[in-house]
Amino acid sequence: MSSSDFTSFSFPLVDAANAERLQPQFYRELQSSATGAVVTFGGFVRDHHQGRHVVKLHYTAFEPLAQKEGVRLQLEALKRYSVHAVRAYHVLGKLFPGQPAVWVGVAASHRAEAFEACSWLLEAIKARVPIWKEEFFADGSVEWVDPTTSS
Amino acid sequence: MKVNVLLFGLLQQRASQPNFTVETTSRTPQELYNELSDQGLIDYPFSQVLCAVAEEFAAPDTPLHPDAHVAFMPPMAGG
Repeated sequence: MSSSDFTSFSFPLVDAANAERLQPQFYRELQSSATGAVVTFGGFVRDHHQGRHVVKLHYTAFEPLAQKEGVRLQLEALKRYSVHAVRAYHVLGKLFPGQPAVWVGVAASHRAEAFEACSWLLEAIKARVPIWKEEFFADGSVEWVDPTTSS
Repeated sequence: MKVNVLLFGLLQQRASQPNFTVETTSRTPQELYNELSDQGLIDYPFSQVLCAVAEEFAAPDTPLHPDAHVAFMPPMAGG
């Protein structure tokens, strides 16, 4: 996605298998002759949360709104920062420790803008895209993650 | 009027199903949320909840129309 190619805007919500296919494609699409820096962030499922052993996560979304909001945030990143292109996706469904959950990539002329825009876009996706996760713990308990009460 | 309710995330904990239709006199998402809370279907502060109508974010005082699709969303937890 670049500011001059609005038809390609998307925020795919994919399963784990499609995430593995999408990441190299998105990485390639970020590169151009004007690009001096590509910064990417990959978020993965970890096996612990607040001292408890996590065995899997289950991500769900209000999909029509999540896709729209994900696109809007990418457009906002392009307006806020001097960057050439952005890409992002989120994984839905059941995921196990070590599997990717979210990916953000930003291309810019220089690394400073790319780092800043990548960080902003990730935080915006976490805060504003309607996606939720349930944690499945080793003791058999299951809890929705509430960001207002968890760190 | 009848409206269609969609609950997401931890708001699904008390309701027997995440999507359902209700007969209501509520005129706004906030009134509808209060009604569902009074019925014991939801137990979460409305101040933390975002609303959507017709698959788009909506203010709590957005007028509701018959057959509206109203979504209630707790704080997002992606990433």
